[in-house]
Amino acid sequence: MNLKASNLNKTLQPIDVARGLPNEHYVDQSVFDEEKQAVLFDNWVGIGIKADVPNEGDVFPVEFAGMPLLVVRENLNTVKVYQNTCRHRGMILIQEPGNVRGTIRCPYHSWCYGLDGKLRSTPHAGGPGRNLDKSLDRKQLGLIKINSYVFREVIFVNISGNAPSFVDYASKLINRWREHEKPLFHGGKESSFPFDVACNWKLAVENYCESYHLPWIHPGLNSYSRLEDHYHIEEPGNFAGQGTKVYRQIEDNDGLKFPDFKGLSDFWEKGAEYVAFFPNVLFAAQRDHAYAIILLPQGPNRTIERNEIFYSFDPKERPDLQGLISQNAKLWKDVLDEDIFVVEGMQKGRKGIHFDGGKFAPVMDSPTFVFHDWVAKKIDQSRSL
Amino acid sequence: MTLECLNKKILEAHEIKDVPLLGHLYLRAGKLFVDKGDIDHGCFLLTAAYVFCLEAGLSEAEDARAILRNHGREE
Repeated sequence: MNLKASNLNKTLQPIDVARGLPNEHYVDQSVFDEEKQAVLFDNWVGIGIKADVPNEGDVFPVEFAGMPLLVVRENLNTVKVYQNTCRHRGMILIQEPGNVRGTIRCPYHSWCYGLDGKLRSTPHAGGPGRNLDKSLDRKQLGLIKINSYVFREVIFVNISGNAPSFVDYASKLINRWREHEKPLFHGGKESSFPFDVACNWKLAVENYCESYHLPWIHPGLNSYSRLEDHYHIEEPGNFAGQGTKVYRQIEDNDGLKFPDFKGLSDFWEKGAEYVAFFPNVLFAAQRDHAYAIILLPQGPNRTIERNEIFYSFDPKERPDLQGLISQNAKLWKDVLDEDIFVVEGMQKGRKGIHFDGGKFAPVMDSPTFVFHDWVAKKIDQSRSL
Repeated sequence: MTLECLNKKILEAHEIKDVPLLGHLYLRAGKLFVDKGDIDHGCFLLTAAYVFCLEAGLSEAEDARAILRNHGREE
């Protein structure tokens, strides 16, 4: 038991009497470290997208909550993730995205690893010009593989290796959006825009979960997507979010629209869903495009949000839609940008030492409560081990 | 090419981080020393050749490896 542990008793209550997670879950480094293990590393977290490594041999380093990871496109069909650390002296292997034509060479003593993670060479390990040593079994010294899975083009990892398989972990969302299991094509450079936000990563999840804020923060929606047109999505222990029954497709001045994903049921003609998949990926499913927001925690007070938009078609094959892709990227950038002052404002508010985690409005805040409850239970379970 | 000239080219290749060229040059230098009977220094240079050829994905990596293996220096 951590002697400095935060008190979660008030969070682990029914919504009508519960309070949100205490302040230290947003501002305190030691609680951030505790959550890093119990909430992030022990579950499946998004770290990037498949388009980060489009070609064979592409490597993409990611530091996730301080953990150095390396995403590698081993071949056309396989993306792997390794700990980005040499097995010899612990040197970081790759520090910039790039393409590896042959092997990954440690920049320190030049131990070399194949894209498959196998240790291929240990130069001078047995003395100058002698690359063998009887104590050095290369088969045991490959790169440490991190369990990974690509879902809706997002690369997920389970860093501790203790979680159930991704398919089991995500089965409820996979089943909910079964109709949306279609090829997704990244929209290209403009469809990828990061925000560097001065808030704890959880505040971005909480804001995304609920529709309560829409009329105030996104007043532009009021004319066509009113608050009463939204519904809650709640899957305790897995995900939470909101849906709309009046999704309106974007179109340009000539009435050109994006092609739909094929084979969707009638619901999706006007329906769209926005789900925070715990812990750190915010998904959108819509008839004509999708997006994912990957939250990369940088510490208690800072988060990088990667916003990535996907389509039902390969943009390279539809130059006629390039203008609409740009227009759509701008639209989402503007909408998501409207949320930044809110999440940064909630971060500032949590320096108020008398804030008690906040009273939930049970009717409107239940998806947010589902997330708080999940986080609190994950930490509570971890403390009881 | 003289050894002195080869050394100069190796340093230049290091300067511009030309990995394939480093693989070629070290292979050449390593073979020269092995042929002269200086196995230790030849294998030292061939080790560099092997590493840079591996990194660059060059088939010559196998040439370097074969010589190193013959002398019990590589798997």
